[in-house]
Parts: sequence; structure tokens; C-alpha cells
Amino acid sequence: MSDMTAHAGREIFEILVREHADMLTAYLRSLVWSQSSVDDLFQETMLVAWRRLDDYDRALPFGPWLRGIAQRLVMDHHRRGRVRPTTVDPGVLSELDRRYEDLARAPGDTFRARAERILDCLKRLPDHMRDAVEMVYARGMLMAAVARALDATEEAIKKRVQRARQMLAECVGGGESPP
Amino acid sequence: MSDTAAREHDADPATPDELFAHGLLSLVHADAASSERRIARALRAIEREDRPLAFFTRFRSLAAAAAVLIVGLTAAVFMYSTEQSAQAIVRASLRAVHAAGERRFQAHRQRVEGGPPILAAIIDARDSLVLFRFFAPRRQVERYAGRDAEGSWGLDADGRIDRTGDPFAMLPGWTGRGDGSFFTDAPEAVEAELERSYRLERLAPEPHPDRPGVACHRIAAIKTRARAGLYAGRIDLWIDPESQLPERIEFSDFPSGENRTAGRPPPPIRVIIDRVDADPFPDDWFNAARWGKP
Repeated sequence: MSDMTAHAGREIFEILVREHADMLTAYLRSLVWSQSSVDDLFQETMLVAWRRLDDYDRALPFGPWLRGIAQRLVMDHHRRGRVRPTTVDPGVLSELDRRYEDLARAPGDTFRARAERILDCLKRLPDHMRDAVEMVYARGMLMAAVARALDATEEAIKKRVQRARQMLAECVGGGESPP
Repeated sequence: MSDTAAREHDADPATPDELFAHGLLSLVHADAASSERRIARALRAIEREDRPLAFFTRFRSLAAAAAVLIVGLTAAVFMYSTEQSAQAIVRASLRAVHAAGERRFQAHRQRVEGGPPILAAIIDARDSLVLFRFFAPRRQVERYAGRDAEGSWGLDADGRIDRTGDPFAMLPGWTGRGDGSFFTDAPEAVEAELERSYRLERLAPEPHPDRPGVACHRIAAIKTRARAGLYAGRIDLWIDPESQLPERIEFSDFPSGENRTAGRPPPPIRVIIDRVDADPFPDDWFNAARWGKP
């Protein structure tokens, strides 16, 4: 392979990396809780994609192929005890992938623009739910700290955030407004 | 969200909806710098990978055309990708140009296919202020026009500032016609016009014209409204994927004959506009008074 060819290949792959970076980051966040694991898995997924690019069916979208690699890596690391995935249930993983695929087809110029619809949905959550979600995700507060701040039990806050995430997903996926 | 906070969710039952929302919430609340660091780290790791790729080596026998073929294959990849459309890239570029502050473009024209590009104009812009300096080397003529705080202006043959008529009417015929001119507005207006009167097609990425190692988004705009829009029938854009700024805008397929009837020379076959680096412009750079007599 000529240097020019390899160089052009890397340039093109760099564009693919940049275009799918947000999607892959969000997907990995769905699969593992730890941010540092997300960073490592992001790099590893892109490396594997680069090494296996000749296996990629060009007639298919790049995003699902990338998610497939990411999912296999997470499960592999889980078997080796290196990461703690959010789920190992094949049915849940399949449904999760479908939600990302649905989002990729939704109106919007980029994945990030589509993902940011969740911020509009967040505004429409009941106050007690929105406050809890913002404290956890925007301010990185521990559940116990959120519980103290909102004068609730930690268990109640966990349930509140859990229910809020459910409602937000329904809102993003189906365009339904939270009550 | 911190690792510590994140780990607290371990005990939560994981439904697809919850995990989906968790991924999106984490993404939209993360700082942009962390995303760029992640990408840079992955690209450095890829750069360290020094192995030939079968995906690309399958074109080994076509060494001279290999890069072109790869680019073609990637066009197929992008055709199926819904991540970023030609319109989206152009819109992002338009926003980037508006946010770029001061910028300079150089325009070269090519009279005949294969002929040397000749410097035709330097276009400077700062927000809505614009300065056009056109050159006609064979006639040793420079023409000035622009837009300052008072509005559009041009210099007449005696170098006096004229704000009464269409200052751009004095510019070379190939710069525009009627209500459609790509030099009567700043370069960003060109991109806005692209969306209105042209069909935008995303092509395979190409190397940056001046910075080896940087691939550019490539957009081709094919005119769809014969009597509207800009003068050129086809406009090609090279857009930096990082800065989103148009690095090169190439105009071609000009209608022939119309300027001959006006007694002007025929249009060039191609006009190439490149973004170039420039020192900060002086404060009065865009004022008509700097260039002409009252």
C-alpha cells in the first residue's frame, strides 16, 4: 500500500470517528457506569473499527457497526472482570440499540442535535424530578447529597431519577411530553 | 457526572429506556473539551497503529488511483450515513464563518482549462464589514468596493467614493449579474445562497488544499434555478471538519455569452477562492475613506 493510500485512509477514518464520536460516547455511557471505562472503551472501539474496516459492509450504516463492536468489547471486558456493565441482558441490549437507531433516523443534523432534544424534555419534567436529574447529571452530585439537598431519602431520590429517565426516554423517542 | 456518582446507579434495574436516557443525559452534560480529548486520544492510538489495511490494499494494483478509489468508496459510506448531510455541513460552516471574526480570502481566476490561476481579488471581512480589492493586471487597474458602517461603497474612476449607485456595477462582469452576485455579499452569503438555488451533494472527503493530513468535507452545489442564485452553474466547497470554515470555494460552469453582449470579456472558466491567513486588520481597514477621496 502506498503511503498516499494509507494516509488518505486515515484521513477518511478520522472523519468517520468525528462524525460518530457523540453517538459512541452516549452509547458507551449507556453500557457502563464508569466515565474512565467509557474513555478507554471509546479508544478501543475506534481502534478495533480501524483494524477491521475491511470487514465493514459499506452498504450498511457505520453507526450500528460501531455500536456492535462497542457492545462486544464491553461484554468481553465484563467476562474478564475489567468493567461493570449496566446490563448483560441480550434483550435489553437489543432494545437499547434499537433506541439509538431510532434516534439516528430522527430529524436533526447531527447526533448531538438529536440528543439535545432530551434537554427540552427535561424542562417539561415535574420540578421535583427535574431538580434531581440536574443535580445528578449537570452537577455530578452523589445521590446522598441530592437527597440531603432535596430533603428526601436516598432511596426516594434513586427512584425519582429512575422514573425521570424513563419519562425522558419516552419523550425523546416518541415526542411525548412528560406530564 | 463523576464516577462516584455514576456508580451509585449500580443497584438500579436497567431498562432500555433508562439506559438510553442515561447515555444521552451524560453526553449533553459533558463538557465539549472532554469529547475533543477523547477523539484526539483515539486518533493518536490509530496513528500509532502501523499496519497495512486490507480495506485499502485491495486497490494496490491501482496505485496511482488508489486514493481516488478510496475516496469513492467512502462516498458510499457517507451516502448511507445519516449523521451529517450536505445541508448540515453547509449550515455549520455558515455559522462558523459568522463566528470567525476577521478573515481574508484570495480569489484567482482561470481563463482557460489548464491555464495559470491569476490573482483576481482579495476579499477581507470582519462581521458585516467587507472590503473587495479587484485586480486587472493586464490593464494595471485596481478596483475597490466594500461595505462599511455607512453602507455599500465603491470608488469611481477618479478614486472618489461613490455611495449613490450600485458600487459593484463597476466590478468585472464575471463577478455577478442582476440580483445574484457572489461578490456583492461577503463569502458567507454565498453559502446561504447555495441552499436556496442549488442542489447540494456531499462528495467524498478530500485532503485540505494547504494542510497535508487534514481531510476536508467536500460539497458540490449544482444550480437548480437558472435565473436565480449566483452566477456560477457549479460551486465546490472544501470545508475544514474541525473549524467548519470553508477553506476553498470554487466557482465554475459560468453561463457564456451574456457578458459579451455587454461589451465585456467572456467569463473565466473557473474562479477559486481560498481562505488565507492574515494579520489583524487596522481599525479603519473597512472604511471607504481609507481607500478613496470624499
